[in-house]
Amino acid sequence: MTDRVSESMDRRTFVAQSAGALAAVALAPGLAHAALRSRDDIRVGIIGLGRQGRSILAELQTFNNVFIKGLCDVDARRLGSARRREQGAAAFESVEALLGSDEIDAVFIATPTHRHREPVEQALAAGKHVYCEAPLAHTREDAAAIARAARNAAGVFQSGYLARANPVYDLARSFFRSDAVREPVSLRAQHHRKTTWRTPARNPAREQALNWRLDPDVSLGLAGEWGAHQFDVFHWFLGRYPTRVTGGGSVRLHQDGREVHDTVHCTLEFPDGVPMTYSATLANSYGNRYEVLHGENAAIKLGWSHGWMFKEADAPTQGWEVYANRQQFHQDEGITLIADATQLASQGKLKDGVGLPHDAVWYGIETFLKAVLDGAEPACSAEEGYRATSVAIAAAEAVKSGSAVDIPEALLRL
Amino acid sequence: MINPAEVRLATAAMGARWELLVRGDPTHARAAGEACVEAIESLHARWTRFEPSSMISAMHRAAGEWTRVDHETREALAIAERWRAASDGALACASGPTAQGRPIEFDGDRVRVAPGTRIDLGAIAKGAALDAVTEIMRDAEVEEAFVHGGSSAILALGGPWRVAPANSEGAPGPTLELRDQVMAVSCSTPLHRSDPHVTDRRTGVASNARTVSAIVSKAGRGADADALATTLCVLGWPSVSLATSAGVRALVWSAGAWRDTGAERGISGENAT
Repeated sequence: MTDRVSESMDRRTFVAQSAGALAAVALAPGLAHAALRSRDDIRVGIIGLGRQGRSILAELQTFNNVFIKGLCDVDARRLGSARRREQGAAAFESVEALLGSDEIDAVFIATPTHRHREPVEQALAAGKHVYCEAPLAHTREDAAAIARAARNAAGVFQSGYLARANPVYDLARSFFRSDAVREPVSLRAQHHRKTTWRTPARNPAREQALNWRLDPDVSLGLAGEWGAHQFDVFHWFLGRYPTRVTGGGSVRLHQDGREVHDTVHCTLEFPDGVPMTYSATLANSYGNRYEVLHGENAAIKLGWSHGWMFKEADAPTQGWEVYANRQQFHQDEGITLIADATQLASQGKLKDGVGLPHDAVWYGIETFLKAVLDGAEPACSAEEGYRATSVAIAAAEAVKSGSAVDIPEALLRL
Repeated sequence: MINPAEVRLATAAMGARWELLVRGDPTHARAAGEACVEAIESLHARWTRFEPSSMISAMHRAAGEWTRVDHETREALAIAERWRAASDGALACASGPTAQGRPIEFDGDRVRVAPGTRIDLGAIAKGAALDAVTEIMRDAEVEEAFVHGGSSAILALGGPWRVAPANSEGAPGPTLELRDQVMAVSCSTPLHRSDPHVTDRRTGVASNARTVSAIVSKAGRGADADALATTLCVLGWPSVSLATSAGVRALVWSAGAWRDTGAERGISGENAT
């Protein structure tokens, strides 16, 4: 980490000097904002412009200190579409060409999961800071290679497990680790959406390139792609990883010849015996996405932008609860988890804090930028990303085979 | 009876029910339709005033400061500003103490809203969403599709698709045949509501006239059509030159009768742009 901070400081010093050289020019009225660069500015590229890449692009456009200088995708239509949305960026048809640009400090890798390894290794070797979407890879071998490359690189690397960057989840974790919840007794999560999970593609080549999630040879399925992010919530909260996973799945709705299940379930067993049950489906949207942690004193429900704590009647009362914002869910009353609640309450603005002020992706980007510019720890390191990805791969294997898959501790070590 | 080569999808966004009918190979048509639904829902999430994570809420929080927003939001704000200027302030997607001045300023990729300004993209949001849908459908090479948001913003790809704007009493007006076109409809007092909901931003006075306006334009110009429909609803037939100079067809119902630039200019619905 020392090397990373040092590298980051070196880069910042360089950028600051560049900005100093520009300062006299920058004071001239009417000069385009893009010409101004300060020590807090950063120039970035995006590799992979599918759904997630476009989402990253839209969020990056809201940062005052980010200059999007390069866009890369092998699909010409996607590249053209993104280029229309960010005309200040150069379009690159190859990763090598983008990484060859000395105008780019950091890259966001949003290629398909099975195509993360090569651009990550290339980008780190080129001295770029790297944000890589999660799961890191579709095989343990690739995930380990990515993590090792990150460990040996001078630049910052952040895994895109977004819960770890989410302020509501951070607040909930602090409650979870305090006496407010006490020992966990059961854990549950789901991700339900009614969708085919298919991208429109007219010809076979595009079909193969764009619909990799439905390709059984490379896809981790729902447990590996969606579940990976939700499993990591429990890894982070518990500070432990599961030792065994069982699962199963089937095609319940989308009978279009697919082999990748549209409905899955699995159970992750943690070392102290606490089970985490998970379900995901493309056939029904009820409940959407959430995680629930049941403890002796309270349950916590997390819904990405919102979080609630449901207290047991016999749980000790805490002073701040008097001021808490509450929401009714049928017969249960939830205390809304609000970041900076004390400050907002003192201003009489507690309700303004309900719901995050930014999209979840924004927080992933923000934490990455802080790691690059300020030397902060990345929200999710390469090692943590490797472990979470290994669990996701095990879950995908369990769902696919319908049998139990052990996760020995050695598997989670690089 | 549903054509087996037709796929129907729906969602709720922007205060309206959206329905999509996509023709073609069912697997491909559904995937294309779902991409469109995702785009509509994404724009809703960015532009709603009721969620703290929207771009509009972010701009409200940053009032008085230069801030950056995503491409789609910047484009929508720019279109809104263009029609504010063209309508001499009658249409505005911003209200507040400075709404009669320049409530939104632009500087490259940055925008600034005046303190106290409240932005509401309701006058163009559904039309802008149709433009996003058009881009996705064309990229997916979908040739036949019909999409509407709350029946007041319509996209007809391929066709012809026959539609008839209703007057403020709900009675169907002239039947139009749309082909690769959008139609945006605005009504000063919607059916089943007694309160007017279209306001002249210059005066702050809501229109009490039971006016309906419909704009027919090329597919891909939905945001402009939506803005113009609202403008004509506020200003009425006397402002129809805004439509003719924009090269679009306008229909306005007021005082119990429809007036139609297409009919007056001898333009059929099929080729009116």
